Amino acid sequence: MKAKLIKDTQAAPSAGDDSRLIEIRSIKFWPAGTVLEDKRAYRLVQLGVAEPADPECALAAGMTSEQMRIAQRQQEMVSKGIQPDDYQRYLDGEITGYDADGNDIPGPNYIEETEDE
Amino acid sequence: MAKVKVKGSVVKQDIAATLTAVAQVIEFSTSGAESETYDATTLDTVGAGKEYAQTGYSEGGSFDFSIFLDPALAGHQALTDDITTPAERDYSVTFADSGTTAWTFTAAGIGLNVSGAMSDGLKADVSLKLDQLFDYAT
Repeated sequence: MKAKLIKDTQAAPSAGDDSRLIEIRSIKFWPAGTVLEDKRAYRLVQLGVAEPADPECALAAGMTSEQMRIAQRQQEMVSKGIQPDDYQRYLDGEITGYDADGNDIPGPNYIEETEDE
Repeated sequence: MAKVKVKGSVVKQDIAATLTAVAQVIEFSTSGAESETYDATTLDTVGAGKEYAQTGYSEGGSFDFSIFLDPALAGHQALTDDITTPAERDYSVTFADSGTTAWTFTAAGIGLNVSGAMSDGLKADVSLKLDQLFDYAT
């Protein structure tokens, strides 16, 4: 079955030297739009990494468009290393991730923490 | 030189030749990685100290991580898939340092222990036995 990647996605070493791979800072990526054929391709759809590229994959994934949208949003958080406790803050636009010191990277709806006097 | 925070680190699993982030990871650790040695002590070893020498092999050890388990989540089901249908899989851990250093490795096997307690959320401890070594940054 086949699934089409939504974003540039890090390739596993098992991808080998596939000619479609691109390399950025010594890390190999599948470019967005790459169609992968694999018996577990439906998992990529369920994980929000890809969309079905054939009826077999769509059937195996068994998701509505809305469920796929939610999975894609969740995968975005997980791949950025957002802590489970911060998922809602991310969804609310308060943070977009963390910097190298572990501090919040403010989002459009960031709420400044105030210190008690 | 830096003290690297763990917050923001990501564990990834191989699904269909992609490395995809595992959700709801609480902690991770490695253990057992070592260069293998043998007891090279002989009867005429000088002094009381035992001698050791390298075999030329290294043990990869294991990579363990804990998650808040969501049995309905595809990424967590992908882990249990490898219990029901054993397969070697690639994994990686990406650290939250400024260079987002990643160690990639192949797991020959997986162990999974689930725990539930009244005072806590549903959790699972995952243990991955390395085939060869981590792809350490050098």
